[in-house]
Amino acid sequence: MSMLLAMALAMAGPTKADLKQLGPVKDTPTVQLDPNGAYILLRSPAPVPINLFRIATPDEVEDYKVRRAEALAKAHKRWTSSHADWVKNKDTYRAQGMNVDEPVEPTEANLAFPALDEENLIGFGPLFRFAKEKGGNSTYLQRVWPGRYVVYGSILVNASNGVATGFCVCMGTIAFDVKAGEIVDAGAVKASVNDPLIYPRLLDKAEPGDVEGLRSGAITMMRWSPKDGSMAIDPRLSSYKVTPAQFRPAGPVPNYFGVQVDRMTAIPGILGYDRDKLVDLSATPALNAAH
Amino acid sequence: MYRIDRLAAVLAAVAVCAQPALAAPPPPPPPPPSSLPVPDPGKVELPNLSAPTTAEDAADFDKYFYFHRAGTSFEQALTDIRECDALARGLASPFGWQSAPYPYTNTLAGVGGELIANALISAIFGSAELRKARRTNIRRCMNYKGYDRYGLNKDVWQQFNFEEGFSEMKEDKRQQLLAKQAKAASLVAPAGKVLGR
Repeated sequence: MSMLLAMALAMAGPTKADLKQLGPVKDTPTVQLDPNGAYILLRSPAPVPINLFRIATPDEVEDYKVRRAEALAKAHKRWTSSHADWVKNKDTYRAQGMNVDEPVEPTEANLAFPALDEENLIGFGPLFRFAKEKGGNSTYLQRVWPGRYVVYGSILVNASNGVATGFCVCMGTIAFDVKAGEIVDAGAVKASVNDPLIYPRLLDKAEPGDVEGLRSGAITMMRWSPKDGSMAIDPRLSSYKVTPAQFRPAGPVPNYFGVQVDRMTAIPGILGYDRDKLVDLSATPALNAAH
Repeated sequence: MYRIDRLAAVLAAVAVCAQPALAAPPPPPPPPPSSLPVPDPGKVELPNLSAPTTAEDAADFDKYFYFHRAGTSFEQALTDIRECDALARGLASPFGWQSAPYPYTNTLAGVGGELIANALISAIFGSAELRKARRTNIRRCMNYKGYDRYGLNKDVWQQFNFEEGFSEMKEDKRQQLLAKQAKAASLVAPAGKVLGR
């Protein structure tokens, strides 16, 4: 597949067959990557889950609108039936002392339907590391669909019961582009599900230089460091093109999973804050990431 | 046979009770804060926020407080509080379904134990954790918006605030209380000392 063809297909979004090709690259002695694939490289001092979502393409947005409209039509049909039933029986309910609420009519505004960002969410870690140093970084390398990725948070969803725990950086985050035929080096992330607001004793265990920032909230539950000279690239990737991620501010984004809400710690030269307003310290405008 | 039927009926009842907490469908999205009407602040009533507090009250300032930011209009405070409320509602229970341990998994005794244990875990711990998670999200959000926090006596706090566990506050009542909080955050001179975030 030529690079141009790969880029054109990326505009349409992945098919189910494409999705099967995506996922973490295993830690094996030699590594064979697809030269037309898109990959994200990320390091973390601890094995933690990190979530990003890909901003949908216009074609995906159109497809989503159709699916959502169909779901609304179905929900409205069910509501018509249940509401008629409620009207018919409401006097009986009242006479029997039963408090049965009138079914709420589903509308475009109140329909419970997963957002497109949720469908395009991907997760790194905590398992399936590409490399791990004893007492040091865990490295994740993941094949993804080309596009623009927004860092969403650190969330674990229990597959058996669907319960989500963790936090989102809903109030301020970063985004970066991943192109076909590239490994994008996203640098390193430090995520913790605790902060002193929840667990004040954290301050006792914090590194001295972090105490004031943790206390004031300047240091949040997610700290991101763009690629720098101190971050080595695994020798198994020496024959591949590795490009440092170009970050820009993004957000805010909704709390889709009902988890703790936080924001990314400010990043010099990329992301700052004026109260809750994002300040773009990069050369490009901030992205409105929410759909 | 009768005993088994009766046990099954009891377990089914417990399962129904536990259902909303354990496997609730995704809630509909809250109305966008910008689409809601802004009430006349002159008609929004507040209790006396400058009533003195005791050392016992101070021990609970993590729970009972209000926000204030100098130089902020009522409309702006209401927008801010509604945004933070939107980020703090419909939270996921940290307690999902806990399976009975092997070798009781999928046995009648195991399933019965699961139902009862999950209902209890959910009722006792889940709601408290949800209330705490809501408080934390609101505190983080309002702190990022530049609001300071001031402690209150619980009785005063309850007159214009609410907690949310498994049961959701009705929308009209929620908006009334958020308007009171916005008035406290903008138009009332703060009393007491500034607490941490």
